Amino acid sequence: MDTVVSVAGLVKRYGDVTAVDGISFEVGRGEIFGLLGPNGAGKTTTVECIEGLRVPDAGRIEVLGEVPSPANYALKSRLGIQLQGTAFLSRLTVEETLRLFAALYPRHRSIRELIEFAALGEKRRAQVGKLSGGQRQRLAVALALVNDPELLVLDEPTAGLDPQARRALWELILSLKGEGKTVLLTTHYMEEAEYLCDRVLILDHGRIIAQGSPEALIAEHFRETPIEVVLADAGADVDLSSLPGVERAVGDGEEVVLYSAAPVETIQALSDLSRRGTIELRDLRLRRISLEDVYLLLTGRRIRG
Amino acid sequence: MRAFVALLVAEFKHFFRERMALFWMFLFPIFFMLLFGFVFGGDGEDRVSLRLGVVVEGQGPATEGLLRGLSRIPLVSEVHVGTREEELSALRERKRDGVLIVPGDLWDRLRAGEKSRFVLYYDASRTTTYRILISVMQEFLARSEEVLTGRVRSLELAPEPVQVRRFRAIDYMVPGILAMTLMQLGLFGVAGTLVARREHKILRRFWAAPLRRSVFAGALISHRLAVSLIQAALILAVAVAVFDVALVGSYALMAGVVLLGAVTFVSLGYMIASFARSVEGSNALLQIINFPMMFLSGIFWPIEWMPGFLRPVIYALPLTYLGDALRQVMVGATPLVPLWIDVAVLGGWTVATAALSMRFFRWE
Repeated sequence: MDTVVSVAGLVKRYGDVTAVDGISFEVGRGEIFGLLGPNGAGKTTTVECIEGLRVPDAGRIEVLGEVPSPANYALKSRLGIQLQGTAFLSRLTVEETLRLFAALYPRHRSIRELIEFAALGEKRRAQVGKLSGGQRQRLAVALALVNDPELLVLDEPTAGLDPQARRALWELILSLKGEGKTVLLTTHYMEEAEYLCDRVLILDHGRIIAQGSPEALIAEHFRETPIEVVLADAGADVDLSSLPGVERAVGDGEEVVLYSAAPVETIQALSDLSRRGTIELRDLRLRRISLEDVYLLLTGRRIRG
Repeated sequence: MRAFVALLVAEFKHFFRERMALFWMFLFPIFFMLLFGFVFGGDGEDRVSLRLGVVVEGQGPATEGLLRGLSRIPLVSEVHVGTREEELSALRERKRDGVLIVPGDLWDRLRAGEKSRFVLYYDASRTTTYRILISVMQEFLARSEEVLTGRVRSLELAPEPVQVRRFRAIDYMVPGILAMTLMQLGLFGVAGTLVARREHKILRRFWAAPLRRSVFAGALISHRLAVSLIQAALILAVAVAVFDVALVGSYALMAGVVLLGAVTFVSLGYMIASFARSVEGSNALLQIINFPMMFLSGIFWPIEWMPGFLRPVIYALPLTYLGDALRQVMVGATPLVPLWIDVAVLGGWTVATAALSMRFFRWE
């Protein structure tokens, strides 16, 4: 596999805080690669080092065969960048903004195609300041494509969007894969990483805690089915992890996730306990295993909240 | 070059669609000028007590009576007798309202029954005053003749307008308001804009593109300089049309000083943007710079009116020199310092602030 991005032993500190603590990974050509983790895990710092906007304190980065740096204009010309929470000149229209950025790069794609691609045809003449969140994010992704880059780096492309707008962007990003682009994206939405990414890297406190394809990660860590149990009384003196089939119980108090190798037996045991009045069940859900569970398993925390 | 042009065009579009910016940059200085102009415009402009200069070209029996007669006219408060040069220069300095020339052969002509011409010089800029003056003098000559000879129509008044350069509060203030506007273009139009764009991460996206700082700065500065020329043209057009301000300098020289002033303050604005960390912080800093400059740099009133202990501060402010340079080249005001010193000081500020900006400017 042709390597587009290679990161080795990357360290970045801000004062006393170590934002990225020695991470290494590679992204192959044509992949959609996800950096996954909660806010503050070091995702943005990592991609900004790759974009050349930040200079690492240690480690080596190579992107498209070059070393990124703030002054590496040749590399910047080949990267498609969407920054987290970035804004544009609010009084310019969608089309004017695309044309402005097109002029900053040595070559650019057809503006009309980009507008069509981002489904912004009706908003072509609308001022950027008047776009909805979803429209603005689609414009940001279209701008990342303006120079027809080999590698796209998208930092939280769907943050703050409603589910519908997020879905629309997912389809947009998947269609890039069809064009043979390499995409490196960050997200703190597990389902997004699962849906989009060929491979993910899970970061926590600046360190890698897991990496691989979503399917492989799930298979590696789970043979069980998660059962979410909500109890009315947190103080119930029952050890749920000793129920039949349960391999692990995560969480405490009122909300517990039981990972069961034999979900039918576990649920029967739970309902017996409930009938006898030992516990009071408020809710019980069976879920498909997801990356969320991998994260929960590895950190003991939910990724959001 | 392509990037520069695209950025410059984008700046123009963005700017002209921003109504608040248009108001502060174009309309506010004009409102300001109209307000000041109407408040201070009628500063004792036309008086009805006349100060008369008399030039007697030859002595004769009639002359003394004539002078006595003049001083008895109720509207005439002062009568000064002097040479033609003395009295005319006093008129130009607005120390006289009119100068009457008494012809040397008055007595001979009166006896011969010939006509005599009394030339009356007056300040053409003061329309009310000179109309009163002329009618008063005509009346006086007619009455004197009647008393002296019993005849009429042989003493003739010949009014001669003299262009006196007036220097009013508004003449002083128009270059001052322009100087203030140029300063605020740099402070708020550059520093304010850049800090806000940095805070909204607009600058970061430009930084992520293969765009050199110099191209980005060049486009922004070019746009602001163009705006400064438009501002100057608008302010001067209103000053001339509404307040009849007389512009004495060449347009090229005026444009040169306007551009130098704009460059100085755009550069100062860039430096502030390089050091300010947040919009709130920069707003406080900008006001700390804006207010003392406005009131201490003598752009609205002469610095002689301010207490002496402030002089060192006054002479440290770049706006003092911009105001002085603009007053000199636009309305021909008495210089505070020679023009080349104004230019040198503004140039020095520009070089220093530009160097600091280049060293410390940050995209984020």
